[in-house]
Amino acid sequence: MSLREHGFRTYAGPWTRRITRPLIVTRYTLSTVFSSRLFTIFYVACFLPPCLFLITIYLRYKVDFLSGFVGFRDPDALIGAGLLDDWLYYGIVEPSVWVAFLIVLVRGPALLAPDLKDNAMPLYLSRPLTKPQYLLGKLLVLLWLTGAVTWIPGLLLVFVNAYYAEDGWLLNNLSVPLGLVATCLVWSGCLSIIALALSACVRWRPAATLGFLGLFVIGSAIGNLFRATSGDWYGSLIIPWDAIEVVGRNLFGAKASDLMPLPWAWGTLAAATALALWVLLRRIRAFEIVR
Amino acid sequence: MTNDADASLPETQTKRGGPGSVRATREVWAEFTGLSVRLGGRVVLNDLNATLQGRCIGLLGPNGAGKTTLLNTLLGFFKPSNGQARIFGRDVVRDAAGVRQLIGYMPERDSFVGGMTGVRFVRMMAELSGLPRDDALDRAHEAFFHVGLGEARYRKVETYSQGMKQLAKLAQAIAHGPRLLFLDEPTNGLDPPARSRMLQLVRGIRDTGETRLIVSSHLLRDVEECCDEVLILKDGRIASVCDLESERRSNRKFLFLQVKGDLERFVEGLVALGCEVGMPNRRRLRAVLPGHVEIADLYALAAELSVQIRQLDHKRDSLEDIFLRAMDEPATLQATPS
Repeated sequence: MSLREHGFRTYAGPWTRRITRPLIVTRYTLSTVFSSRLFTIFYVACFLPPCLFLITIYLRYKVDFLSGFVGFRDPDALIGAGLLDDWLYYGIVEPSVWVAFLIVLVRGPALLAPDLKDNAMPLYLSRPLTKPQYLLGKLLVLLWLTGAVTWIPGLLLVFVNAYYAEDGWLLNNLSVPLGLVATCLVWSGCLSIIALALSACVRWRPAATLGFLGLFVIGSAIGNLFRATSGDWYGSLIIPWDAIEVVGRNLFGAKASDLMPLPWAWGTLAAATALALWVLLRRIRAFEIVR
Repeated sequence: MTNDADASLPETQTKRGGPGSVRATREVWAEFTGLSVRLGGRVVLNDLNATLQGRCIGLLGPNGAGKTTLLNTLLGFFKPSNGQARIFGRDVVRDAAGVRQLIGYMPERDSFVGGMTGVRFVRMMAELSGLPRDDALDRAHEAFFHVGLGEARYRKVETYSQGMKQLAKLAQAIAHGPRLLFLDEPTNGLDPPARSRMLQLVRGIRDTGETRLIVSSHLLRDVEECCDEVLILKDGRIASVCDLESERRSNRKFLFLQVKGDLERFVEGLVALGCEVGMPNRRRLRAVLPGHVEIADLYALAAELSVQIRQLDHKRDSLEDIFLRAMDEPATLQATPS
């Protein structure tokens, strides 16, 4: 490093490709995210569900070996009677949905709010970095954080299960790994864009976090109340969990859910994401225009 | 890696030492043709026509004249409703990314990325401008030392004082060695020593001759100290484009004299030297010296004619005069440096 060069000079070296610029935003943001020790501990704890399910898979297939020690003879009894058909869905996808929600809840609202509060947008956007590229960089942070504890270990669990199951299990159940990845990506993407939109609207981080939580909790409460009183499924339209369960089960190839019709579930997720994207693109700008 | 910043330089530019350099010749590097911008239903910039050639352009105008809007339009933040602007031959709308790669921008308001040390913040900005990681780190350190924040570069940016934040903003604007630097009110909130330091840095960058600058300010003195050309805006129109350097040169040749002795012979002598002479009153002379006549020649003439020169003043047509004149006159539509 040439610290003796203290004068101004123009740059004559090579330039990186413009297409890689969003990854710079991602890299620096991830580094800031993991500078919090508390978050790092929380993030490590997010690997607990896949680890527990790994043990479950092992017990599921090695129960005969263990039966002599722990007294179990029926694998259904070990993992819950009645759940055997969908046991991979319950063991991998359901925890992933919750883990992704928690991660986005903790980090999502904090991604844009500080940049807007500190007026950093003119600095970002005065460079060869477009608004969609900046947002993509921030979105990739959440997709990376959620992906590393949801579909990536989930895929490993599926492969472990395939290893223990009978020959050809994976080929016969290709919808399991594909559905797992698709469900996690759809859910994480939807959650992330909503969280970023909230972060762009509410510049005070705690308020944005509460807003995100409130959106899901209050939405679910109202939806459930409506379902309970009206007796039909329309209340599920404002319950994101119901929408992702219907979509996830369909993609995963698990037993279909009767919470709401599949097209409506897709429509709910798509509408929420589109609305959040519209808000995002309107809120993120280099300068406020005073009318 | 690509050298895309250099890929399509117009032939009129003189390339030297890579994408970041042009020779300090007076070439047109910015051109506005009928540039108009509407924001919130209001015309903020109205039919600007100008060519800029100076090394450091002062952007002047009263509040709301459109200075910041012009900078933002050149950065591609606002789309022109009419006309076009070209920087180094590139259209600011059609080749926005290419133009931005050449520009360093120091915004008026406090702007930083929180939670980062100063050097990390500047490194990230340099990387976003297109520098590889190692080069960005090197130049971030250099930029911090250059602006005088070397010792504070590992402190979080949000802990900096107002003056340090201004310098950090300048560091992020110059770290990637831009060919064009936009400084929006660079001395805002600075105490006199810090202001002086900031202007010294601006002059230093200007004097390298490799980077053009646009300094937007409402402080005439700041502009006068570091700019060689001014563009004065009024109500979204160009009120005046003035070459301060030639203005200063012409002022040096414009004298007011008070003499004692044979006034008529002295005037004849001045005319014989080739000076234009006027007499506002009996005791005071106004003389415009031709290029080959120096002030020493006047003293020689006075000695020869036994005339005493009691007082000799240069005309002082300050930037304030130029500015006030521009504010009084109706805004022009076509402007090239006078």
